[in-house]
Amino acid sequence: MNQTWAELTKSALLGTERMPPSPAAPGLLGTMLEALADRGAEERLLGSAALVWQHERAGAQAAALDSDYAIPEAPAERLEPASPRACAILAEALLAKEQSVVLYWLRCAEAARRRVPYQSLPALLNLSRGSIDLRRQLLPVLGERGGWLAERNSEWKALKGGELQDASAWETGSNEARLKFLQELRARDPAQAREQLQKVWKQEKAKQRSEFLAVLELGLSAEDEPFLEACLDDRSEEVRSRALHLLNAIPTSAFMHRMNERAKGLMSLGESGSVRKLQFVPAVPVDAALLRDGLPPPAKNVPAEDPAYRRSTVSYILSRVAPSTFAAQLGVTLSEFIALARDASAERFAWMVEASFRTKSMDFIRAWFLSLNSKDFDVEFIQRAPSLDPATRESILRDYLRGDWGRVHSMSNYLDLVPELPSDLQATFYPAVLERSARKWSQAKLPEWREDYLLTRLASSMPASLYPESLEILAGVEMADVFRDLIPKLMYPLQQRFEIQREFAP
Amino acid sequence: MAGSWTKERVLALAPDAASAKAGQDLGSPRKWVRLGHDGGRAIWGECQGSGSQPYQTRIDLDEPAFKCSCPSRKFPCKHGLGLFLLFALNLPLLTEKEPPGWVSEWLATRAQKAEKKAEKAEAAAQKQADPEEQAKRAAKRLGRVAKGVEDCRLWLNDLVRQGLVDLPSRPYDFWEGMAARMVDAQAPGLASMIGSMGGLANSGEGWTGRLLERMARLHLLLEGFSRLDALSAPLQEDVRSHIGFTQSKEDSLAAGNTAAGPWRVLGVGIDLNERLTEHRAWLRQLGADRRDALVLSFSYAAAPSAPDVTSIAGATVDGPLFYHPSAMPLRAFPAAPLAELATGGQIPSGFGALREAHASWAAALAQNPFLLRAPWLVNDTRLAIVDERLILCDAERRWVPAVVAGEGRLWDALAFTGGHPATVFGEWSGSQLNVLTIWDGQGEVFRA
Repeated sequence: MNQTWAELTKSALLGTERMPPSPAAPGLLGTMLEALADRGAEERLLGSAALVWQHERAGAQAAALDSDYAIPEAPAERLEPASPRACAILAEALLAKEQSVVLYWLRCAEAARRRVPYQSLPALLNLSRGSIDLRRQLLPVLGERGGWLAERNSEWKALKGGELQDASAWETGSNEARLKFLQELRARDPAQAREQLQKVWKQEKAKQRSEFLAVLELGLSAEDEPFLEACLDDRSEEVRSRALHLLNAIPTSAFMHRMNERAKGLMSLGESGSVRKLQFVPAVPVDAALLRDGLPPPAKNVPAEDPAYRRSTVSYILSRVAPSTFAAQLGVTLSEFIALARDASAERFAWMVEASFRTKSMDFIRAWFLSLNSKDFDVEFIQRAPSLDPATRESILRDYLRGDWGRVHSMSNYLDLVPELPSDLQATFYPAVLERSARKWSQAKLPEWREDYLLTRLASSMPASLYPESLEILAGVEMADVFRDLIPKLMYPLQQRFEIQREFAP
Repeated sequence: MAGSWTKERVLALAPDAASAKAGQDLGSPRKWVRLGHDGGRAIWGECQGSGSQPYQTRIDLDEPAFKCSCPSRKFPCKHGLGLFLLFALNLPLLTEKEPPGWVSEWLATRAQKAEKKAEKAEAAAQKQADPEEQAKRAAKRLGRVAKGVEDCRLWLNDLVRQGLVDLPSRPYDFWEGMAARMVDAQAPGLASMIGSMGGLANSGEGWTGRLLERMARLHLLLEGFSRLDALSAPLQEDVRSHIGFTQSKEDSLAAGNTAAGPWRVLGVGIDLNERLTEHRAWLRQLGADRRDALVLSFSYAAAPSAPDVTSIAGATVDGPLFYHPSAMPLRAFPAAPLAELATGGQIPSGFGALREAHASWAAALAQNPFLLRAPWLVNDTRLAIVDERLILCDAERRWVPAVVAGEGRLWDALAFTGGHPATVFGEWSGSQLNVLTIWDGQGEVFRA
């Protein structure tokens, strides 16, 4: 307020005994203030305050905007909005923080070239701050107003560029934030990510160097080799080990050339009766170069000539060199080599399996998987699936299943993997799991947490189009009411996704 | 019965925006381990919280009334709202038909209490009707209030004489004690004003000015009461009302200050303090007169009132409203429930610029200096954020500070308008506009 008010406030703060009020103002207000002059100090102060307060209330006017300030306006939209029902489902999923349903909604919206409704923008922008997947999926359907809104809020600003972490996170952020930044950058521009890492390499602690180096696995290429080769001289064993792991996956690297050279003469073909067998040298010479290339040194008090240590030099190379290299050196086909390798000791064969994964030798990998029993296949396939490219993974699985999911040991082991598989595999997997669960429930009196959990997971990952079939499967099984009552609740996310799919259908 | 309950009507029961959100979160069946409806007035459910036992929630649709075993002090709690939403939107999920013991016992207790309450009310009404008794009570009350006003005046004078500098360090008892004395003096309006002064004294930078404003307002009221006879009859009513005298509906009906519908519901504001929810529905008469009306209703934690047709901003309703006497009549009530004619309609027409709104406000204050808020409907305005605060700017590029549900829905409002021209309705407090409703250029409505 004005000067008169400031004086009154001061007088009130100090007290009329210390600072008696004597308010003055121009015009009619001043006249009215003077009329209180003959009152006691307290009455004068309070009465004057009431007059000034009312005067300000009644007389205040709206301020003028700066002449050069243009009120920002969101641009016109290029995408049509989603249907009212689709928007209602999104609002419900946002409130319940059902991230999987929200993500599904965004994907369907993108495919249908629709945008998110305005009323959900703040909730979506807030939710996507904590998820790279949500951020990436939100951008195509954010719409012009969504982008405009994001620019106006410092917590959402970076989202519009698809990045939560801007460059300042790399400079001054926490280690976690820096790792996230590097991961996002590596996904967009592998070379720039490597260059950023090289700039700060010498200042980083061993733990950070190792974690950051692991990021290079994404988009790994021969261009990364010089940096990784230099890492073999790092003072941290963890960093060296990480670099070796990555170099092992670059077939043209100097490291692989050195290993292939060491592999020469490691194996030969011999005969036992009329059967050909692989024969192995007992050891490989150990030198500084081999130690630099990752061969563990002998344990304390174990001499280098120790027979066990010498044998380990062979297994080290076996576990690093692609089986196809050995096949070429022996002059046999890969399938002949696989048959020969199987006949070698189980330990040696296991080393060759390791090598096939390290060097991404897909033919050897495939043959090995198809030789496993169902229990071993489940364990190995689920564990190693992330290291396989999707096409190889799918191909191996199809060859193994031969159209029957019953061939696996436990279908629930595949719950995390199946959403990434083609739709025909999903279409046979989910009904099969659901039928098994329903049969278990029909024999039980009370729900077990495992089945609740399984059904909840199925509802979150099952393709939405399978919702009607799921209900039919469950309806076709006799079960106690307590299970019957649970089903709508557990299947609710699937129901939501089914409705979303229906709303966005062309 | 579920058909008459919509999502909006259920959420209108929420004591605040946070409860409405939390209630919608619990409107998903996944959170409930048990759900039932007897086909009549009872709804029940068990919702798993963080404890070992689920919370037991029940609703009597007759009022509606809620009871929940959760520790929340809000009413209805989020479980009650969530259960009600499931009833309104997903009735087939309420599969149990027979109420369990903890529901039927509650209903039976409620029936007993209602019977006793009716008997008491009848007895009180008989006592009230006696005119001689009424006059005695009125005189007694006036005497108590006059004494309270004098005590308050002395207390206020003492404060300014000694100075306000120590007040932030005073315990809340200091304020609550004086407020309690005003309650004893049957002046609850004064009690409420004094009770909130403790918060102002501890409100951070600028507290002295804010506290002095409140004291100035209190002083004005005390002065008004002291010179009641010198004021016009309508202004006397305003002074009494602010002191805490209830304006009786019977007297207001008899006074005959009435206006016919139809009305447009311009906006709805809800404020929750510890025990009381205040529901403010602002209506504007359609037709030539265009009178404004404020329909107030209060509910206590134990008995939230059912939402009626004035709960939805943008709706058109019909029926006469009766104004309580005032130098500038705004507070009104319907003698019978208003009828809903439409849930939406054209964008209402209001002030063309903020200077018109300010002029209207100044004229209103001249009539009733005790006015605390006024309805502002302004066309062709824009919301924007300048220097990190929300402003409302008119077509003449003049602006006033604004809030939306106390900052809680600022971004929702901005997402709705996108900075484009909109018609805004809100409550002007003298220093900022509390935005309640926004109409965009296509007539879509945003309700804060």
